[in-house]
Amino acid sequence: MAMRTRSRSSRILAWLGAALAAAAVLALVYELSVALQAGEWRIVPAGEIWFTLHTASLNLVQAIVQRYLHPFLWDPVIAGFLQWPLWASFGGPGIALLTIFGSRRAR
Amino acid sequence: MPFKRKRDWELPESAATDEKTYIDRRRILAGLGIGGAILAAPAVVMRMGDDGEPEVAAPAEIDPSAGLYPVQRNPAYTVERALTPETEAATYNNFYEFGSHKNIHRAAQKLPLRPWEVRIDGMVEKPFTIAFDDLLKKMPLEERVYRHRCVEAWAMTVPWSGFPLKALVDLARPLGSAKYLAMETFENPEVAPGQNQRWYPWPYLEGLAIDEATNELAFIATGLYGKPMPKQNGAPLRLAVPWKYGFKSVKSLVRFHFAEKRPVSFWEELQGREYGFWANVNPKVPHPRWSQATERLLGTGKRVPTRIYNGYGEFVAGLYTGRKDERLFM
Repeated sequence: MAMRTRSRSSRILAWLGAALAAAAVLALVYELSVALQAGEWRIVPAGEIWFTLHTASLNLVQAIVQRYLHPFLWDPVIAGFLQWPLWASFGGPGIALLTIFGSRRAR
Repeated sequence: MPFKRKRDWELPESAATDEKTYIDRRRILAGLGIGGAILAAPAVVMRMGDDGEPEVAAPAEIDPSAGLYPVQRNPAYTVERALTPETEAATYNNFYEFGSHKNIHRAAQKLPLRPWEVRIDGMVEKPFTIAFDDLLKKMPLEERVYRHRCVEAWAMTVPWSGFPLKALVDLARPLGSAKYLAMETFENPEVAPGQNQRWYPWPYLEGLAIDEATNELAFIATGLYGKPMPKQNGAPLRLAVPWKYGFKSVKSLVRFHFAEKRPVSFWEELQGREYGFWANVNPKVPHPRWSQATERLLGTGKRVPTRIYNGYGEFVAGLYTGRKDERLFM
């Protein structure tokens, strides 16, 4: 029973890893398109992509985190994370999850 | 053996101030210039925070403009409501450059106030830059008690010190073709961590139509409660337009730009559907996520009905008769 539970959670984590990796690929494509348009390469922070896609939710999440959880959690923790390029922020954990849990699933 | 237990308040004889120093303490302080500095410095309002640390509600450094305050109150601008306690007005603030939380009064203390220059440019006869303290010398200072209504449905009543925005417009000598006045906040990510989020359209910018800017109510506030403006309230100079939601009253100004074209304000660019250009107070036009029918008074927590134009309709309603097609209340 415990084996089955572990197997199910591994599968979920593997799926999460795949989703993160896919998001990272999309982010990389977005960054490439921005670079092509601008004629020069620049790293696009995760926060900029969130801002472009849905400003209202970014603003709302910041207010909720800073007012009802803790200011520190937003800045420097989440705001620091948002400074990173999305492909790196998502790609790293995504590949790690896939490597660890994806291979276990295959066994 | 007799045992003497020392009480907490007991000090050794060596710690006592000697009599000569005690008697001469005022002269010594005056000689050091500290007495004057203490008198001239803006008050430091202290109270204990939730975590037991003192909350600094006002700047502790010496403000060169401190000697100008208090200024005479203009009786034409008073309201029937009681003043909000100073500690409330100085510790419950929004200042987006320093974050969205309500500990802004602590974070904002990093803002350096001198030197502080103000740029006046755009459609003016001659653009110029002026030091804040020089600007103050040219302006007619007075105190006005205004209501302040935040879009978040809280309100306060405070005595601003400062000068009519019209006086600054006159100093700027705008061209006849200038239709709008844009006002910008400082930009310094080293002290304002929110500005490190580069995806936001910093600097914070707000705008008024020229007839709004020259309306008698539009005020540039440089002080609060008879003292220089606390940093968290927008030192050293900020806008106060009491008939509009608070986010229009842009803080810590460094630039006044006259333009023919309407500027896109900071919040308008972020969420124009919720925070538009005009943003006049109207209890009948709700924010998309909450009602604007009532407001919570800082200090008492009492909820009272909100009034159209925040109760200043007699001064400003006429500004909008020719603007019926605009989204005046959003």
